[in-house]
Amino acid sequence: MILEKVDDETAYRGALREWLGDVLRAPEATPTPGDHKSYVSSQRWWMAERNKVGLGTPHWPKEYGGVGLSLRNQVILAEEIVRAGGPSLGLFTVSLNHLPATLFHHGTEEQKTRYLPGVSQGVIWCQGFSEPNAGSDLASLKCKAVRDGDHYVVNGQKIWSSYSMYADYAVLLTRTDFDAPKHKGITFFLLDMKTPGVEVRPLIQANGLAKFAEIFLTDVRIPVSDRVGEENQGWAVSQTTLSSERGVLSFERNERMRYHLENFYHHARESDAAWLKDDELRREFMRLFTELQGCRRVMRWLMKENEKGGSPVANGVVPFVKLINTELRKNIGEFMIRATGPDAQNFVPDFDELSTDPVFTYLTGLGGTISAGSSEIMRNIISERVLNMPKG
Amino acid sequence: MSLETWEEDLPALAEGISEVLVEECDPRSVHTFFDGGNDLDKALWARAAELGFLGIGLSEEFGGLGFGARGLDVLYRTLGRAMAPGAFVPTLAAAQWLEQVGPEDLNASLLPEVVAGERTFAVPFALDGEGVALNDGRLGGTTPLMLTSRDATTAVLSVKREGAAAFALVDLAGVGFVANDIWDHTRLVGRYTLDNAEPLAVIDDVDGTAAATLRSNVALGIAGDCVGGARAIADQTIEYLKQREQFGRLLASMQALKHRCAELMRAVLEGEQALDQGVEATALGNPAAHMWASLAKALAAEKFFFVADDCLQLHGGVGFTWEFDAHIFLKRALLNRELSGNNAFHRDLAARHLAEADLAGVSTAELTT
Repeated sequence: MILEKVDDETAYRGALREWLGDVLRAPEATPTPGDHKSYVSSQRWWMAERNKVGLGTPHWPKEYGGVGLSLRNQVILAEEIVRAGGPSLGLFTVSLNHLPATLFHHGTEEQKTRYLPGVSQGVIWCQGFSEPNAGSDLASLKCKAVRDGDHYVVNGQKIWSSYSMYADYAVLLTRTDFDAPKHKGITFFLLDMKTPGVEVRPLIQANGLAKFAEIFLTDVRIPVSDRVGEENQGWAVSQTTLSSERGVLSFERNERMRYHLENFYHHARESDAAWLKDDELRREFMRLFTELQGCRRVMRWLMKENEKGGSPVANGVVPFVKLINTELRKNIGEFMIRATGPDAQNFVPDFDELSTDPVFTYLTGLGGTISAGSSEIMRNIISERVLNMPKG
Repeated sequence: MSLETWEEDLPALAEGISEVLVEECDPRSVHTFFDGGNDLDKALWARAAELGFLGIGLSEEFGGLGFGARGLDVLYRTLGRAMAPGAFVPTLAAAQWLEQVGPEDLNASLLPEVVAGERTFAVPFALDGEGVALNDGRLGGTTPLMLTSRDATTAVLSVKREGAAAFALVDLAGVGFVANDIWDHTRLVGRYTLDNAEPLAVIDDVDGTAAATLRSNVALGIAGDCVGGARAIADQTIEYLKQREQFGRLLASMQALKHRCAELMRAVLEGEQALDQGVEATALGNPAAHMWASLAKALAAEKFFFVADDCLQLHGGVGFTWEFDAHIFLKRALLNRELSGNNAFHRDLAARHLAEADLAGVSTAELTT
């Protein structure tokens, strides 16, 4: 079995390659482009297959059903999956990262036992944080929760919630005190998406995918036992949740970008593409190639530091990694559009998350510079928290 | 903050070098040197020799400290932060190159002299042209443009011997030199006039390895200077914005300027990461090391210029004065873009390397470490 070989890198990689070579032959590994149902069933299939070999939630501690896979071995796993062209676990982003980050630190024993084991069985979680008037300024959120006996009654609207149309549960931020300073009146909940009063409407993104959605909450009753942390202490809990949006997840995405760029170059060489003979474009490619390698280095360094327990320097590097990584993905996509020429303008209707279409790559990169803390927010954080420049 | 290159046993040494430069290469001394008012270049050189820094990259058998490319990188970055003048990059890059490509007996005689501060090298400004013809074992005429220092003892010249590429080491005692009057007064660039000079040694370079190695060594030195300089002027500028008030508030509290500062630091970090890759590939003997050195030089020089230019602007009027540091960093950035070959030249070299690797079926994953 794969997990028995983790102490020997060559054997571990060998076992992963053997397994991937086998499992990725299944038709489910390649969902029909543009078909949402096919995507969701492919994602559930992939989680089930990973779970069969103990790789459902391998990065979690053993006590919560993981195998406590070391960071080094998580990175190797990500590298091998990307190398084999295997799917991401995008549908389970919140399930695998945000939910455990929150519950490990702030959850009750009952919440941990109740919710964590479901993840490796394919339970999908989404995030109900942003609102139409609370995006970058998340703490100004207004979704209202009022205590009513052993329940809270929630009314309001959430937005930019990825995959919420497929989600079984949500992590939810609400306001329970409208008089307190904005950071002090927020409460964190776990919401069963089947609760009456929950309505989800998908939104189509600029890149053509309907990945995120709006969530409307009308008199939704949440039991007090599904509150995480104390009432009005939800902001601190949410910071733990959001801090998980980094590490191996972005590393894997960056590795996919590297293969994407490498394949783009390889195909250009094979087809003797005109841009290779264009001095400006060829040199620009070499610059992007350098920057991507720099980004890989800083990500690997950061993961290593964080595994050791982090450091002030490492914490200071986090917003740079988000800024560098997302701006670079956007720039690579934009470069591919110009290098490809007029053909890049052709709309290819059937695509999915892993599409290599240049405009899709660019637009998805652009989305990355907005989501999970826009580039502007990263520049605020860098200047204020890393460079210690005063608030304006 | 530099990342992996500093993680091993170098930090203490780096700290020591940095302390010496803070003390002996302070901005006031650099400005005085810039205006021809002191011998900072020679003083720093003598001090570095005394403390053993000149042997940081060389093996112990030649009296060095054995830190190789990583050690040199630490020194170059620190010198770049301090806008240091002197023979460091041409001499240490050439000395390291001799250890890599030179004959054992030559190295045994020359390299200990480098460590002792007695031998300094001049190297080609950019190794991008034809070599000088070697006739009957002798060299005459004006050399191509060289990166050198006052009292340099030995020139490393690209030559042709019976049509084949080689390098000649030429003693510079009594040789005529015409300096270019360049904007960056912290460095020395010019041409030597040789009169039937007999080289100390000639090193054949049939397959171009010696040229590529020398070019990479100088490129890594210049890149180190770039990332050191970029971080220094960026730090200094951000501190300045924290002191300077206009419109009744600190400039550092204005979001438009804060976002620019975030971008400055991003550029600094990107330059450092590219150089870390170049240095690591060189230190580990990665077959793609020359490619990464070229890419590191191009990116580091580009980022240094971006940072130095914007830092001068962020200082406003005082930034535009001769008395402030900003113009010296900017002029070093301008010269660095050209030294060891400009950024386009280096990217074209790297592109050829990548194309060869792709043709040979090597993936970029295998080119990285």
